[in-house]
Amino acid sequence: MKYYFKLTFLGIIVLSSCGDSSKTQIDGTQQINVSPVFEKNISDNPSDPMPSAVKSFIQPIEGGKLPFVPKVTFFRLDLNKDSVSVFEIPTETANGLRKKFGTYDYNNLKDDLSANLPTLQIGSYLSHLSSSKSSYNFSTTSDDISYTLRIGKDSSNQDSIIKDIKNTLIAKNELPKRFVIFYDTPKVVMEKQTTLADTTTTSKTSSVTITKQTAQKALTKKKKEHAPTGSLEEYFLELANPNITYESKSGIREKILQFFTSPNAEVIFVNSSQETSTGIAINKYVKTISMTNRKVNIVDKKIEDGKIFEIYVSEK
Amino acid sequence: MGKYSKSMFLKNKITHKVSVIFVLFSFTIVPNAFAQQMSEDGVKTLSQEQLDGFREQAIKTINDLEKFVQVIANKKNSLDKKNDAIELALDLFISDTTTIEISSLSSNKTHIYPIGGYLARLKLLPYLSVKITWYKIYLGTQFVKGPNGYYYGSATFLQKFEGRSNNEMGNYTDVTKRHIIIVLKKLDLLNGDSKTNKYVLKLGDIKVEETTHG
Repeated sequence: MKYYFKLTFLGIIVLSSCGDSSKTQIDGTQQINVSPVFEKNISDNPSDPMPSAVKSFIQPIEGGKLPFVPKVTFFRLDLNKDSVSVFEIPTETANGLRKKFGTYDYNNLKDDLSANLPTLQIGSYLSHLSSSKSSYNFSTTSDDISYTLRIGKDSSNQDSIIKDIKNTLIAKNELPKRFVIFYDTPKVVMEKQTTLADTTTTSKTSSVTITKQTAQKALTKKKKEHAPTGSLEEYFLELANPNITYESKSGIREKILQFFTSPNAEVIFVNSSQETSTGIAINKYVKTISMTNRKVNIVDKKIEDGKIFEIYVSEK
Repeated sequence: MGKYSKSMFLKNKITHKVSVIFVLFSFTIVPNAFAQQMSEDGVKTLSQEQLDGFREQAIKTINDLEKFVQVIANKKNSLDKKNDAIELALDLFISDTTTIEISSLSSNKTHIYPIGGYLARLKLLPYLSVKITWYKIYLGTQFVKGPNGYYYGSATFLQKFEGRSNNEMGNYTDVTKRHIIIVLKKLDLLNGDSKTNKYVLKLGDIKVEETTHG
């Protein structure tokens, strides 16, 4: 009997230590996927006017006592090189656990950011956390332009825009639940013509050499190239073809994404009649299929405005 | 169920050997007690059928990871493809603090790396060619629910590493038995004013059990 209690107690300890011991039942939490807002326009062409753009992606993770405790990752994009360097704010640990959820408070976040952002040498830093909930003010050291990033509770427009200090719209996310900050003044935002119609251009943005017409032409051409002519099923079949190289499948991947409301549309797996998820978005899933060459059977799809926002698949 | 087993245990005064079996059985139902309690608090509890679906998904996910590891290690692949494979592989893990334990035949010590660092290192291994194969993948027993609402399972597999070199490094081959944690992570989702939760399957730490010449 004594043996039984010892083992059971040990079992509880092991199970407790397996997972995150922090609180998980917190109000105001949600999963938000973050990736570059303007990713479609980032190319490896050296003449692309964005090679020096430094972007920061703020990724709210499941919150603690605060609605959103951001996990901050900085990507420095240098399109003249074939690599992307990633810097993550090193967070301190408490009791062997990374500070997050209920244990990572705003003061720690502010300290971490203040301590580490200057080492990025991007000429900007987080200057002020304006509230404990959803707004952050950023400022650049090179000029007076400030950006406010609002991280809200849902994907409404109000929560996916970046405004300057005068409340002028600087950038608006094309895709919901995505945020981006340009630490340098946005020298060019090619999608400005299509998504930021009411953006007030600054003196720096007006010095951009690329014209609105050129940008629009390029965009239209790109869209035409990837306009799907076949069915989604046919494209998935092509993705599974082991005789087509991964690189050659990029066009097929683009075409598949045209069927979806967003590259972040969720893929749900149907196994033995049960729905399971790995939290993988369609843009990642098509890459996975391109590599694994698995055949995909579309079981169901949920559609909004003629496009798929959730797809149910089984694999062979 | 637990109470019934406990009373049977006391009533019949079964032997020490049988009591060990009982203890192990009870061990598996302790988390279910938590599950019931948490379920009353509005936290979703997965049915056996749902857990079976996740077991199937777990094997696929491990197979995916193997594929990504092969792509990353293969010297013939383009940098773009390797980087994509790293990105996809990282998405399979529960967090960027997940670790992998690395062993070598030349040392009794093992090293633990963050999974991201390991994959980046794998890409740059100084061999002419690298071939990594996983086989004998066995999923452990049922998922058990932890106090935090997550479910935990595990799997083991054998990894054969073959590195070929034409310099003084020579060729290197080993077979490592690995153990990997599988986590069903609970996500809280907001839908307007209402809150729901769902589970997604993610991979956890990978440990070394033993390394041999194969």
